Amino acid sequence: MHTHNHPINCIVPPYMLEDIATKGTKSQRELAIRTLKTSEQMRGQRRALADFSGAVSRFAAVGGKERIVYDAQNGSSLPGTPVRNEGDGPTSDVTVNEAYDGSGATYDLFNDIYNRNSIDAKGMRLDSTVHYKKGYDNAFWDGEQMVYGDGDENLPVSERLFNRFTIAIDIIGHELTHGVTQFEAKLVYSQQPGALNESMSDVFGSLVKQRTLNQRADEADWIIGAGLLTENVNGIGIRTMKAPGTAYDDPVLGKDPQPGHMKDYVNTVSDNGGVHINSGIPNRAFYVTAMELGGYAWEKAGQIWYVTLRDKLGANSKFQDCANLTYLTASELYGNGSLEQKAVKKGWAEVGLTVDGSTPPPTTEPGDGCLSSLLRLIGAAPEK
Amino acid sequence: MYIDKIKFERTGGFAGIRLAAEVDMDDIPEDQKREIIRLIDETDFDELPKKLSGKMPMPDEFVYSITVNSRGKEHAVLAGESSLPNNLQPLIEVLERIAKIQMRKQD
Repeated sequence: MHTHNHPINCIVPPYMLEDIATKGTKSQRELAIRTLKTSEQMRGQRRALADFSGAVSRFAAVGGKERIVYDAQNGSSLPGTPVRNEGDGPTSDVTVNEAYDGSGATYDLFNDIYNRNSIDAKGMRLDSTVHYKKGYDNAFWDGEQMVYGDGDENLPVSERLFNRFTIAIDIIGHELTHGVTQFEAKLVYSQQPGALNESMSDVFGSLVKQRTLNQRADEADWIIGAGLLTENVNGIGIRTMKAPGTAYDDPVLGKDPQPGHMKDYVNTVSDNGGVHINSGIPNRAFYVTAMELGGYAWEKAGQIWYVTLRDKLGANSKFQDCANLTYLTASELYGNGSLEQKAVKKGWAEVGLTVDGSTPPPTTEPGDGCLSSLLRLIGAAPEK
Repeated sequence: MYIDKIKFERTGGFAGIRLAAEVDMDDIPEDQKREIIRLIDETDFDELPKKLSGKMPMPDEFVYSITVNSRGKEHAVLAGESSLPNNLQPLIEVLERIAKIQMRKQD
């Protein structure tokens, strides 16, 4: 389950802590000093882990959106050479610009709509590496950063199946959401928890795209990875949240294997237990919920899913848990018996899952956020 | 070592699209055969555990499965990209190349 951070080891910048450490009351000073020490240690460890040579760790608390795009120059060492920093203008490399703009749009969705300051909720810098390896037809999140290949760029044009992986903004949102999940629900990357992890990445990846295009739920295409497949492939994208299993059907790549209903759940040892396959089921549940609610999907449906990911889901949560917990979240946010709660119920029913409203309430305590911690520290809020 | 046949499968990745090949050692050019045998010998393939999982899987990494059939005996190794030893990398690259060619021929 979701665990809270050390009381003030969140968005409070070090300079403010230093101020408290010198000017506060005795107990305030002690707490501030302890936090400063912990932060320093964490920064040190993380820097060592990342083998990062710069002076400032990507985890250091910063004011807001902070991005760096690196170029691996077709090699495999990460992160590579920095080519665009926050605030720099566009470069002549479209891949670099897509990684920059896409990570910015993802930051904005989480920040503006869900009030979340970056991936770790503490202003973590968003690092992307493009041009990873040669002929690398993949993108991934390595636990600290996004990594993108160029597809089949090393094959003759007539044989290429994949374009560059930054081509679709939802892929960028997908990778960064893996980071959010890593800091929140920590869903294990296997079987149903892994498929939920994948689905969360598709949900928020698609929402990044919809918000960028200013599309309402019924205007969106709900396709993941549109434009990634070349014209040599018979397909519209990699997955579709609206109609799982119909994204591509091609003599070389085969057919989209995603189910859109529990009766078609795929049991397999491949793909970490089918995490990219069975994600079609929760993906469609989200789509149906968003369509039921109408309007912009990131507003209500997205909010329900986000709060569930942040506060309710745990490392081993399964589809049924997600159904029950989104239903519970909808009741907490919009009221018991609300239209929003009914929409969630319908979304899961469409994929063969009946919500069970008897799920015990979450174990996390409300109101234990960074602001209340800081207020407690400076004596403006009561001690717990 | 003597090898009759190799089965290769790559799953996972952001796209989750399966890439697979069956390599019958009698059906491939002599120089490719020598290269594959050398790469397998370099990894002490027989000694590798069935599942290489040193680390937590990275989201969207590829998952590889290599099965080597030698005189009726089979040894299969499953590994995610992040737990792949360096000396297995060149073998994976050769098998991926063969798999891509085989997939195109199926059409």
